[in-house]
Amino acid sequence: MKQCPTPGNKSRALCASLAALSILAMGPIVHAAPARGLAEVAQQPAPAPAAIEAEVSFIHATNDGDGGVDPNIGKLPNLGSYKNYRLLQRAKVSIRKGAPTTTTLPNGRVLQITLKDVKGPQFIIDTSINQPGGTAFLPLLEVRATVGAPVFIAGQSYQAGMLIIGIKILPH
Amino acid sequence: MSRHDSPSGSIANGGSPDRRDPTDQELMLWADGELDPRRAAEVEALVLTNPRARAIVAALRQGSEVLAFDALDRAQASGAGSIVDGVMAALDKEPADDEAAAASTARVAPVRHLRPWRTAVAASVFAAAAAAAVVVFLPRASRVAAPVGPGESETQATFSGAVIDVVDFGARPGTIFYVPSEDESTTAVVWLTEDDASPSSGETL
Repeated sequence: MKQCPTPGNKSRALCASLAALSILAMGPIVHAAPARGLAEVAQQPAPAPAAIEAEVSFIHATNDGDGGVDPNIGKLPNLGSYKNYRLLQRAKVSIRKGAPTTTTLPNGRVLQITLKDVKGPQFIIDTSINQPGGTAFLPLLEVRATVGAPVFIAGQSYQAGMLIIGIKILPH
Repeated sequence: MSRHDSPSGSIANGGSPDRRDPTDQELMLWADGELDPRRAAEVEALVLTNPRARAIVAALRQGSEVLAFDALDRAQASGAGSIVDGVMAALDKEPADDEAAAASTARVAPVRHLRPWRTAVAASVFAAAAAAAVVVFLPRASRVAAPVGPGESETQATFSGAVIDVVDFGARPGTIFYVPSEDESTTAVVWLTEDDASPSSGETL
C-alpha cells in the first residue's frame, strides 16, 4: 500500500479513508477468489453419472392392530405415534438428469424425482408431488444426500392412516 | 461492481425485457429489503408466480433465522448477559455520600478527543474487522440453506447423510425436521399438511 507523505491532518484523514475503502472493496474478492482457485486446482471433475439408482418405499402408518414396524421397512425414525407401520411397496427407480422419473403413489398422486447435480459423494435431487389433475401438492423439495441416507416425506393422509414416502440413493 | 449485475442463477419466466428474470443476488437483496423500489416490485411479482424463486427466498429467510439464533446462542455462551448484570450491580452499589461519589468520579478515565485522522484510522480498523467477520461467518451461514459451493470440497468429502436444501410447500404449511439416529447421524423428514379439499383417493382421515 502507498505511504502518505504529507503530514497534514486532512491528508492523513483522506489517506486513512482511502485505506478503509480499499479494505472494504477487497473483502468480497478475498472471500471469493481462494475458494474458486482451490476448487479448480484440487478438484479434477470426475464424470458425473447421467443416471443413478434410488429406492422408493411407500409405508402405511395406521392404528389398526399393534403390529409395530414391519421388519421389511428397515430403519425408520419415529414418525408419529401410530401402532402399525406396514411396507406397502418398495421399488428401484432410475433417476436421470433433466428427465423426471414419475411414480404413482398409493393415494393417486404422482411423485416426480429428477437428478439435479452430483457434487462428489453428494447427489442433489429435486422432488415434487402432483395431484392427479396435474396441480402441485408439493411443488419442490431439493435434497442433498449421500448414498444410503434416506429422506422421508410424511404427512399425507391415506386410508385411515398416513402415507410415508422413503427415498434413498443406492450405490452405483 | 454493481450489486445488480450478477449473471448467476437467473430464473426463467418467459424472458420479457420489462420483467427480466431475477438473479439469485437480486432475490437476496429483495429478501433483505435492499432492492430499489421499482425492481423490488418486479421481483415481488415474479416471486409470487415462480415456485423456484419462492423456494429460494424461503430458504434465504430460513438461513437468516438460523444465523440469528446462532448469534444469540453465541452471545449467551460467551456470557454477554453477565456484562449487563455487572453494570446493573455496579449501579446498585453507587456511593450514597458526596465524598464517595467524588472518589468514584476520580476513577473514571477522561475521554480523549481523537484527532480527525485518528478517527479515520479507527474507522478503517473497524471496517477491516467487519470485513474479516464477514469472511469468517458468511460461509457458515450459507451452509444452512444454500447448496454446497465449489470451495467446500473438504466438507463434501466428509459429508454423510441427507439435507433438505430447498423446499416449497406451496399454499399449505409444512415442516422440516431431523430425527437423530442411534449411530449419531440424523434422518431428514419433510412433513406435509393435508388439505381437506384436495382430491386424493383413499383418504378417509
